[in-house]
Amino acid sequence: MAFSNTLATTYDDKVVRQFAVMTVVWGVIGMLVGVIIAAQLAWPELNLGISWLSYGRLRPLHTNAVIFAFGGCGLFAASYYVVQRTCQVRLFAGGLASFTFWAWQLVILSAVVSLPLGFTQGKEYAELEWPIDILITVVWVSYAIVFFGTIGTRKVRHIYVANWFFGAFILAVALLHLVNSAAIPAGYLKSYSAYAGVQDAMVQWWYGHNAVGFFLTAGFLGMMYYFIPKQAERPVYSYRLSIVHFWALIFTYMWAGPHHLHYTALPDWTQSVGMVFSLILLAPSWGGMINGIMTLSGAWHKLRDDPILRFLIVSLSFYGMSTFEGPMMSIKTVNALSHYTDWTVGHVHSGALGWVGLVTMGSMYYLIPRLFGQKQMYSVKAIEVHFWTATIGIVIYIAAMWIAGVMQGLMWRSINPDGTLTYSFVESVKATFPFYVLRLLGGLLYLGGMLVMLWNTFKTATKGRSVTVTIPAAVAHA
Amino acid sequence: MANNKASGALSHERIETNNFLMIVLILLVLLVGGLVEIVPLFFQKSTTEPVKGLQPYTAPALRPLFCSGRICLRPSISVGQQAHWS
Repeated sequence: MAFSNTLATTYDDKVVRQFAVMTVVWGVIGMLVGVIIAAQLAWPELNLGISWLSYGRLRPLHTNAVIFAFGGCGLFAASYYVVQRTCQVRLFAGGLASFTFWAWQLVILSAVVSLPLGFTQGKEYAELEWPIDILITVVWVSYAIVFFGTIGTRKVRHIYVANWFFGAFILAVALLHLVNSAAIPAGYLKSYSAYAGVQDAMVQWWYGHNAVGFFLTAGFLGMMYYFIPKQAERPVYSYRLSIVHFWALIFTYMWAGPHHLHYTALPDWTQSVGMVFSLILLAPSWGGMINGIMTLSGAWHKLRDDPILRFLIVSLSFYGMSTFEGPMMSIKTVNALSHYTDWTVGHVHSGALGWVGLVTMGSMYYLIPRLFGQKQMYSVKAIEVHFWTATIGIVIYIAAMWIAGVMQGLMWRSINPDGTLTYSFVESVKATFPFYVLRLLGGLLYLGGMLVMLWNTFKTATKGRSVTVTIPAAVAHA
Repeated sequence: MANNKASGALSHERIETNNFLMIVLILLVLLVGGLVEIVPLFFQKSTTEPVKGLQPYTAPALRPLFCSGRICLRPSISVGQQAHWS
C-alpha cells in the first residue's frame, strides 16, 4: 500500500513556514509579558489596580506563552521540517498537520484570554482549564500521527537521531499531559484535580519537571542535532554518544521530579531518590552538550564569522551550565537555601533564555530564509546585533537573580542568639529591589533582541516569496 | 550516522530502523520513573492514612483566614498547592 505522501515530489513547507513565523511573533509577545511582570515586581503599582493585569494572572500567561507558544511553535516548525528532510518524504497526513497549526494557535489564544480572566487549575505549567486541555490532547494526538506517520513512510532506512529526540518529546508530553491533567469538571471553566494532597503534588512535579525535561530539553536537542551539523557542515561528533545519552536522558529525567518537593510531606525515600537521579542526570545532559559542541571540531573558525552558529553553540554552553546548576540545586542541603528564592528563577532563565531561546533563534535564522527562497536573512548584521543584546541580557538577568536568591536565602535563615529571626520578610523584599530592576534591564535587552528578529523576519519574508522544495531522488540504500 | 554496521541482539541498528520498536521502547523507558515514585504513594501508610490527632482544616474554618486583610484567595486554591509553588 502506498500512502499519498510517499508519491509526492515536493515537501510540505507551508505548515513549517506558518509555525516558524508564529514562533517569532509569540516570542515577542511572551517576552513582553515577562518584561511587564518583571517591572511589576519592582514597582507593584504597574498592575494599575486592574485584576486582569495582576502579577498572579500574568505570570502563568508569560510561562504559557514562552513555553507553549514560542517554544511550541518552534518545535512544531523544526520537527516538521527536520522529519521531512531526514526521511526524504512529504509530511504524512498534510491536512492533519495544517490542523495542528490552527488548533495550536487556538489553544494559545484561549490561554491569552482565560488566564488573565482568572481561570486556572492552579497547577504550574498546566494552568489551562479542562476544555482547553482536551483541545491540547486532540492537537497532540494529531501531531503524533503526522510525525510518526512520516517516519513510518520514510524513504531512508535509518531514523535520524534528531527524530529520536522529537519522538521521545512527543510521546513523553502526551503521557505527562494525560496523567497530570486528569480532573473532574465542575462547570465549563472549573475543575478539580483527580488527585489530592501529596499524590497531587508528586504527579504535578513529575509533570512539571518533565515539561522541562521533554518539552524544553529533548525537543530542543532534536533541533540541535539537525541544525548544528547543517550550519557547521560537519557530521555529528559521536554516534555512540548520541545513543547512550539519548536513552540515559529520557530514562533519568522521569525520576527527577521530587527535587521540587524537598522538605515537604513527600516521603523521605521519594525525595532522596529524586535527588540521586537529579545528580545522575548531569552525565546524559553533558553528553548532549559535548556531542553538539564537538561537532564543530575542525571547524572552530566558523564561530568567528557565523552569527547563527554562535547562537547555537552559546545555547549549548548555557545548556551545560544550567544542567550543572540544576543537579547542584537538587541536593537537599543546597535546596534548603535556594528553594523559594529568586535563585530558582535565575536557574530557570539561564535554561530558558540561554538554552531554549538561543537554540530556537539560531534554528529559525537557518530556517526562515530557506522557507522564503532566500540564501540568508535580510540582514546578517541584525543577527549579530540580536546575538549580543540577547547574550548580555541573559548574563545581567541571571547574575542579578543569583545574587538576589542567595541573599534572600541567607536573610531568611539568619537568626539572632535568642532564636528570633534577624530579618522580617519585607526586609528581604526591600533588599531585592535593585536586583529586580537589574533583572528588568536584562529582560528588556532580551526582548529588544527579539524585536530585531521580528523586523529581520518581516524583511526576509517580504523580500522573498513562499517556495516549494523538491524532494531529492531516492538514494541508493532506500 | 550509519557507520555502525555491527548486527546482532545488542545493535542499536535494529531500533533505529524500526519505527514501531522505537515508539514501544521509548514508552517503556519513560514509564519506569513515574511508576516507581508515584504508585507507592497511593498505598503507603504515611501518605494515605490521616495523622493521629491532626485537626484537618475545614472550609468554614479557613474562610475567615483566607479573607483576612487585603488578601483573599479563592476556595479553589488549596493550601497544599501553595506550599509547593516555587
